[in-house]
Amino acid sequence: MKDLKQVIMASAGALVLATILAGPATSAYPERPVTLVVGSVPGSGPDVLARSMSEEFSQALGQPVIVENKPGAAGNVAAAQVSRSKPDGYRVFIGTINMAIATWLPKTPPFDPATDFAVVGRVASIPNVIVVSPKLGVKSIEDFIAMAKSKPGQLNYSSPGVGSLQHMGTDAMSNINGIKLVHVPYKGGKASTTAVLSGEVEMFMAGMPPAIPHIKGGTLLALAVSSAERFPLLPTVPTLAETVMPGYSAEAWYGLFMAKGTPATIVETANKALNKALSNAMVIERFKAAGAAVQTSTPGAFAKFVATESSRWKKNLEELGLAGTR
Amino acid sequence: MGLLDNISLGFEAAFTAQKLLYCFFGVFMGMLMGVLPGIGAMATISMLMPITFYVPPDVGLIMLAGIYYGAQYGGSIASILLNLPGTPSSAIICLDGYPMSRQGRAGPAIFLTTYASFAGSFFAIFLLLTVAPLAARLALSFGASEYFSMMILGLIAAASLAQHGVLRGLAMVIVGLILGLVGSDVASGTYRFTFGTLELADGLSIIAVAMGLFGVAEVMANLMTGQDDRPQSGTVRIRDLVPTRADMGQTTGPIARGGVLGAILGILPGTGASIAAFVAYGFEKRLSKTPEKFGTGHVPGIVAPEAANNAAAQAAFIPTLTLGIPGDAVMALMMSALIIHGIQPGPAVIQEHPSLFWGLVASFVIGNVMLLVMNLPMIGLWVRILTIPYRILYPIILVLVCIGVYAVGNSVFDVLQLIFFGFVGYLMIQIRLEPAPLLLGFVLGPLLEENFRRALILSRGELSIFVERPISAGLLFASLAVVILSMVRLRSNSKSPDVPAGGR
Repeated sequence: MKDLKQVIMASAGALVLATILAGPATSAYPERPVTLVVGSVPGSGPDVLARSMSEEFSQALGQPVIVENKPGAAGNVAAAQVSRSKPDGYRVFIGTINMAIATWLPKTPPFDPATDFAVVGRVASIPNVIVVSPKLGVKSIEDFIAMAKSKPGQLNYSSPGVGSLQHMGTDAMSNINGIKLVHVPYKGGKASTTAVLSGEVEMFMAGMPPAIPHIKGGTLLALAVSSAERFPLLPTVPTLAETVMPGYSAEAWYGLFMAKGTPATIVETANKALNKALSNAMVIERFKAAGAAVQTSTPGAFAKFVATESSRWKKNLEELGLAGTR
Repeated sequence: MGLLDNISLGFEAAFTAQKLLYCFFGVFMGMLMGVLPGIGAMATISMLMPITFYVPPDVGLIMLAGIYYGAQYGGSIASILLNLPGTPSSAIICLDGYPMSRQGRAGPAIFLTTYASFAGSFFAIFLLLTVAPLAARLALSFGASEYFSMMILGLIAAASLAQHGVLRGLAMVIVGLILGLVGSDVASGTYRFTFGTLELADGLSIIAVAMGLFGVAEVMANLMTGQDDRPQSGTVRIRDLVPTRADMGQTTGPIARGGVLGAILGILPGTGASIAAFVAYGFEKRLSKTPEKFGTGHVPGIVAPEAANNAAAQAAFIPTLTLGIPGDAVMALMMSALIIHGIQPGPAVIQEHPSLFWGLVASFVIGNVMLLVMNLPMIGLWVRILTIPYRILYPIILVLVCIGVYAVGNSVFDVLQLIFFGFVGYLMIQIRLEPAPLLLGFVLGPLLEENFRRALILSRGELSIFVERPISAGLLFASLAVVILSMVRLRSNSKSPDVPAGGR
């Protein structure tokens, strides 16, 4: 009988122990700090957005949110790492449109944005804006196209790199309108903006954040935005679609991603917290100052959007002969 | 508004208890982190940036700025004491600072670099106060061809970095240039020498290369020689800490020249404190009547680069605040801190937020005085680091270096690079190859290539662009002049009776 008693005691003990051990897995996510991974240096576009919402995201999650910068390969070093991290929801990546573009450049793509992540939700979108120096003497995008037609192959444009959204966008605009511009790549959007300011190049299809202080300060002239609708921060600036590129729209988007295989309940919890943080007036205001418009979504809708974007830019890079070349 | 109005507005804005406190905290943390090898301004600012969300934007900015220039003060201390640069921009201080320390003159060396830091910073602040908008325009007049020509001038001026012969020095510059090729080619986007790893897509980590070649290698070399565990006697006397009159007499010219060079290079986006320090050292050695003294613990060899990197750090604020063009990664970080607070850096900042702008400039003055006052009494303390036995000091250093390198990009891969370059540096010490020219090539190479190719894209392949633009032509002419001058000097040296004709 003594033996049986011991067995019962041992099993009871084991059961208690098992409950304790299993506790973390079944109890509510999150129960320790969450890391928000940024794929670029502090001060970059995604970093500003991550830090602008980390406080409110943390309040909504009920746990501290730590921003971690892991720069490299246009954010893809961090993206690849998060996609392969433990699927427990504690490493969240603030992904950008570069996930859907830059991943197709190397010979072996580091990941497929559509299938290698658990998609949490959309954060914001930032359209591109075509800027020129006020000294160039053009007042509208039509003027600029006309000038480019009269000087074929003489005007230069900057971009943050071969195969960037800005490069592909300008290339598409040139093809549709039958103009010839010379591409001058720079290291990043800020250097590309400086090139227009100094007159080294004539035009830049800029991301909003580096351009907006100069548009407001009058040192750069905004000719058109790349979003489907006019951008709330620049209501008087027409879209490319309503002027020289009918039907065209392309925006830099931002969203949160977790490792492939993260349980749906965790993704749901994070999505709700994210959307709550993004509804905060302070966050909206800070995003606005950075040139971004807050956008929310369900995990499913954003996942579908990412898949569409991924195939769109993959195709575009293939047409340019850039896919799988690095 | 006149200059005096601006200054008084600035000091009025900066003299509040809160701002003084944050200014002190910033410069103190910056200096401390600057001393710790590998942990520089970037890591410190990213760690402390969240604090700025809870204070008004001008207070936060004053603190962040303090970290930035404070780190420049601290960076040279580890270079002098341990031949281990606290920040990449103070790597060059090792060349003459460490020999001084070996000669038991670590105290005077730190005294002199502190003094040079202070003087260099003040020179750049004076520029900020008087010609900020004008100076900012200089940044915009520099295009691809000007950058290229300036890099050529920098390379030529600094070719004299070599201590064990010109050939070895040039070889190391070339190795550095080749290492600079790793990563994405800006003109085509192609990955070069990345061996299929995404981690190398942005090139080698400059901090890992600098800390590996200088720091880790030095530690290894000292361990291998098996020298005395206790390098210096435990007593440090006050009069050993103060430089001699002869030391002070050698500082004025080098500091002034270093300050001017640093301020100019600091204003230009993309160059910065590291390049300024290298070029200032190179120029000083070129101009010197006794170039052979450099590398042996020569005072101008530490004060010129130290004045230059501090002036550059201070001047870097000019384009950031007045044009909205960040000169380096730390400045970009500072801009984003402002943006989060709803202030758009750019041409309108001085008009729209005069008390923020002039208050910040006034805080530079206050912060630099704080650094000077704080640093001089601490020299004795710093020098005492030398009395720590190696078996305790070296593990601490290696751990700090690893943490610092890891913290920059949260990347284990960067730590592996550090270890690799530590071994490379150790081998280089064994065969008497120097790390300084290599680091210079590594820093200048990518800028040189990028701007050369960009200039040719802009000129549609015409090489004449480099001489048609006046600033570029002037810089190339200056490079030529430096080459001719050194050749003339070489000839007159070989004609002198002491040295037999036909060389050594």
